[in-house]
Amino acid sequence: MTTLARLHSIDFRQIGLAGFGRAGDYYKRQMARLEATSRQQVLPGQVPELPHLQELLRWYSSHLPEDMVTIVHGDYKFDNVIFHPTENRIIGVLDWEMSTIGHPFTDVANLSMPFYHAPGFPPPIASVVDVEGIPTIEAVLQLYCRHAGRPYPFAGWPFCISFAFFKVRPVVYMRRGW
Amino acid sequence: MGPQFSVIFQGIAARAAKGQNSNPMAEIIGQLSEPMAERAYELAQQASTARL
Repeated sequence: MTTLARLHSIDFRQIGLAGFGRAGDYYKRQMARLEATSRQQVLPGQVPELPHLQELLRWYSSHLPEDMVTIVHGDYKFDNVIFHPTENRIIGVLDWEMSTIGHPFTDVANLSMPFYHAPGFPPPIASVVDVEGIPTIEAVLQLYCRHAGRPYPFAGWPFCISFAFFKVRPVVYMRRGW
Repeated sequence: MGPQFSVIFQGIAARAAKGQNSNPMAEIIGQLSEPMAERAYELAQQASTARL
């Protein structure tokens, strides 16, 4: 979370990334794109419509978080960071193919998904809640906000974490070329 | 682990045995993407005072 907070604190314009992505309305644009993609991915008898698509889009439209603009990694999670072999610190961040300019909480939500998996989800995507040595999601979010200089709690968090789950299927299928 | 997940993993294991999936992690996430969409709905419902 501290590494992510550092990434989100970089002034992307100052380092020449002003044209790396469109600034602002990241979630609105994601909603429109993922809705269109989800509809295109429907294949009768093979791929059904995304469950609750219309209801979720309505809810998302009325619960959009306050807009923020930073560098976004796009797939920030434990599999995509390299830890120092003997020290408790990250020495590398991998897999930047989905990076852009966008809303920082999309990365925070992506990394936080293991705290919100439904009971019964199997490893490797099982819930980490109540796992010994893992802090609570509240402590994790507070750590991020402290290092990113953002207020805690973040009012738009329910949107962000729900949207992280919503986008999984369209993105997975896009990567498969569907 | 519920029966739905058992079926998913049996299918992935069977294809892996035939060398038909090169990335089991992507396969697992792909198979669970529908349950994850359901989870998106549950989380939105939990955050909402009104029914969606």
